[in-house]
Amino acid sequence: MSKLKPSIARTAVEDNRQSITHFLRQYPPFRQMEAAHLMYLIEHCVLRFYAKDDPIIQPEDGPIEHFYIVKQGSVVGVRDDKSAQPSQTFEISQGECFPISALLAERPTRTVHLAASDTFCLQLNKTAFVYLLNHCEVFRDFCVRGISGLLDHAIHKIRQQAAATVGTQHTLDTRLGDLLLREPVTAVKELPLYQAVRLMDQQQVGSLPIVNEQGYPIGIFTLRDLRAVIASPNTDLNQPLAAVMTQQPHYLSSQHTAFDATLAMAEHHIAHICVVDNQRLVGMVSERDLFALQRMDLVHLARALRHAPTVAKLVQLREDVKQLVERMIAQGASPEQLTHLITLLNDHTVSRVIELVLATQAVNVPAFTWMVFGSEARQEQTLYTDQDNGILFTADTPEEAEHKRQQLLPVAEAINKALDECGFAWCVGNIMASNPELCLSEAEWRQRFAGLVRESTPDNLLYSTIYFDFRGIWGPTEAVARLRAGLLQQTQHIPAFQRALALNALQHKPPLGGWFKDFSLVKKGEHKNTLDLKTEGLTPFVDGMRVLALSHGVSAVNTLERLRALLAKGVIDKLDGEAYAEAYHFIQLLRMQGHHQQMRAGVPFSNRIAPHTLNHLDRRILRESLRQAQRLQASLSFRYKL
Amino acid sequence: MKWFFKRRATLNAAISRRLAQLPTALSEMELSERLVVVDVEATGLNTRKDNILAIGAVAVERGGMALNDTFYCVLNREHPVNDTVLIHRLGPETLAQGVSVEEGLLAFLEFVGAAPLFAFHAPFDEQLLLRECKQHLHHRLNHVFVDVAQMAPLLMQQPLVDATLDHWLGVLNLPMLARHNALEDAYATAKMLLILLRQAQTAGITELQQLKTALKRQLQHAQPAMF
Repeated sequence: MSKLKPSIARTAVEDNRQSITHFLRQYPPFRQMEAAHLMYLIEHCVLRFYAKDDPIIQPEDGPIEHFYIVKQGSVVGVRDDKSAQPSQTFEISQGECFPISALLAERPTRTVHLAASDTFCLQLNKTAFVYLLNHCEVFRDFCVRGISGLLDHAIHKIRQQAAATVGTQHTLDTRLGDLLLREPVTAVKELPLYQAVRLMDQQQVGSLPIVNEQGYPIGIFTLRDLRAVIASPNTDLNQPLAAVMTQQPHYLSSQHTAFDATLAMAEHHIAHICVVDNQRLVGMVSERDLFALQRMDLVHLARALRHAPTVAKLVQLREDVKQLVERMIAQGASPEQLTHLITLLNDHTVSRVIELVLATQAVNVPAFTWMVFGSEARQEQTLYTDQDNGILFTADTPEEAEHKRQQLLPVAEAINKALDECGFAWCVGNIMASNPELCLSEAEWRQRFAGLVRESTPDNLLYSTIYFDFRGIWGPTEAVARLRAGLLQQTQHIPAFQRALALNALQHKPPLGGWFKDFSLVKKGEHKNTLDLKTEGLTPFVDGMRVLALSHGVSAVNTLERLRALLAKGVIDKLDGEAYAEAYHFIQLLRMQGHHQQMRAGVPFSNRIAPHTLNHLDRRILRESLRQAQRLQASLSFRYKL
Repeated sequence: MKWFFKRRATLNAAISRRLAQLPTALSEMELSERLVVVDVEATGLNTRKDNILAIGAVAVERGGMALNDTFYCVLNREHPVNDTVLIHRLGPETLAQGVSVEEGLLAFLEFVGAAPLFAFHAPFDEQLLLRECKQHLHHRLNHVFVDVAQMAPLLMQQPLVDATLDHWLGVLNLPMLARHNALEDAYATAKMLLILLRQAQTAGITELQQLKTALKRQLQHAQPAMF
């Protein structure tokens, strides 16, 4: 008998598995799995076929016994609810897996999984699934963390890409607790000034927090304070610290992040922040500590913007803003952090522009509040932005209002022009303070808003979506608060307006394809095969949250803050809310990443993206995110019976 | 009688024992039981003269194809290189590394067990296997063979035409084969079979005999048209 030589046979079998390996390697988590684990998975798989509309798993089957991977075709999840909600809940396409949560929970599926087309699935039995869970970290991570694990993965990758272009990889999410290297050097308020200075010199610190008996910081004395003390005449070096310290210093907890500290420093123009846990000082974070983390530029930049001597200097500084944003993306700032940061720097710029323009005015200008609308008001600005602003002033009579308006309009025009120079694009819709219709007294604004709520004409609805997101960024803010309270009072109690605004919010449909196509894209022309991340992706969320916020008396303007407030009020279900936030986040991240790349390439900013240029994972998350937008719209039409 | 003993003598005891242990082939069964899809590569297309070079097989059970229930072997045969090498790509070197003809056939029979055999253009595989088993193992192969090439038009309700495997893969929206290899062909045929079995279920065909009858009827109906 000739000897059995299994080697060729084995090669052939392996060749054959190669095609399946190759297939699986295109998708997470299989792409990241070790070869041995992947081989184990393949060896324990059974290939099955399901004709279109065949149920693959359903609730009545009992606890789930298998894990499925779509090899070819697609699967839809249909929830058989008693409610009138739309029943198709999700779609699973080639390379994706199901039903992970039911399998992990050892329960039946809650959703009927149907083959949406003729479909082949790889089916893995539960024993093998459990084996992989126990032995393959990548697989476990994927199953346990699901889509958010994927999201982390995608965000991590985006950060890595940005980091590669900038060359640093610190994270802004570092907890302040992790930055505290030493016990804080503190003093009591009775300590004489000269002893305090000696202590600071010995310990090489730039700030000295003053604590009470419980260790709570009641004041702070910094080198800047020392400079002021020395500069003043007749300084008594024996006086107690209590007399010269800055009271009620700004503090954060050790759970706050380096980003929070940076933002606080930029906002309050301070260089030292106390870290306080449970009413006790646990450490100090200084500009220099953050500088070590390379994110001081924000503070410097904010300060430089706020004190720029001329508009020309501001224009110059705007370039630094762009570079800073690029670095922040690299350092891992989240989109929410980034948009906040951009808005903060924009606010500083606008404020400084107003001050510089006012300084050139020969005559006295009446007091006014500079209001911003739209994304600037929502604190959701990206680098790609235009101006939407208006002026609010107080006047007792219509005549006084008209008189003040005539004084303010030329100033407003000068401000608008200066802002345009600084890169805030001239608003083509003329939504600018220099427009007499947007330079109004408090009473006139109130009247204007009431009109918009009362008569839901298409034009008025469009204006509502712009003007009802407003915020005062320069000048007194009391009138702005009154205006908002009055508006919410009306919008909460006029269902017809809510309904019209909700209908309007359904206009921008997320560009999802049918069951067999990922996206519905522009078919021809310059924008062929692309979709607009802003109008088609973010707008449904922004519009949806606006309708709900105005209907439920939520005063927040920022979309995510509105969402959080609506969650707290129980208007939106917790799980839904988290899914919306995650989806919104991801679309915004993609959009900012696009801007970042366009900036580097020196091409004009655009919100358009071609999904086929994304990697598989990003494409899939984008599709899921858009599906969340679709769900939000479906819930709106249900809620407002549209 | 001398020739008789001589022929018997070429089979060693171990092989005889294994042959004796083979189960009897099933002729009546549910289609949900274990079925084997086979594909053979041969020196040519003449079933009376040409020889098997390689056998690939995969099992299908309860409508699923287990990825580890597969079989492949190359037979150790001296075979002059001719044009067919371009199709099966089994050169003399590869063949020299193959297993003996007896061992290969026997291992295949052991893999098949009692299951009926499904193949694309089954008569070709059937006649070759029948002849080779008789010649080398003195074993009478009595497994039921089903032609997947005939099942396809029956169950997809298309006219009975003599089409290639690639044609049907295209019709059924399955990926084409990169190259021909007994195992890959068997694998592709098995995928086709999964779809066809699902169709059979819709048509109410759940048993092997029902399927054979339907196929026979199809052939009879088609006959007049062929003249």
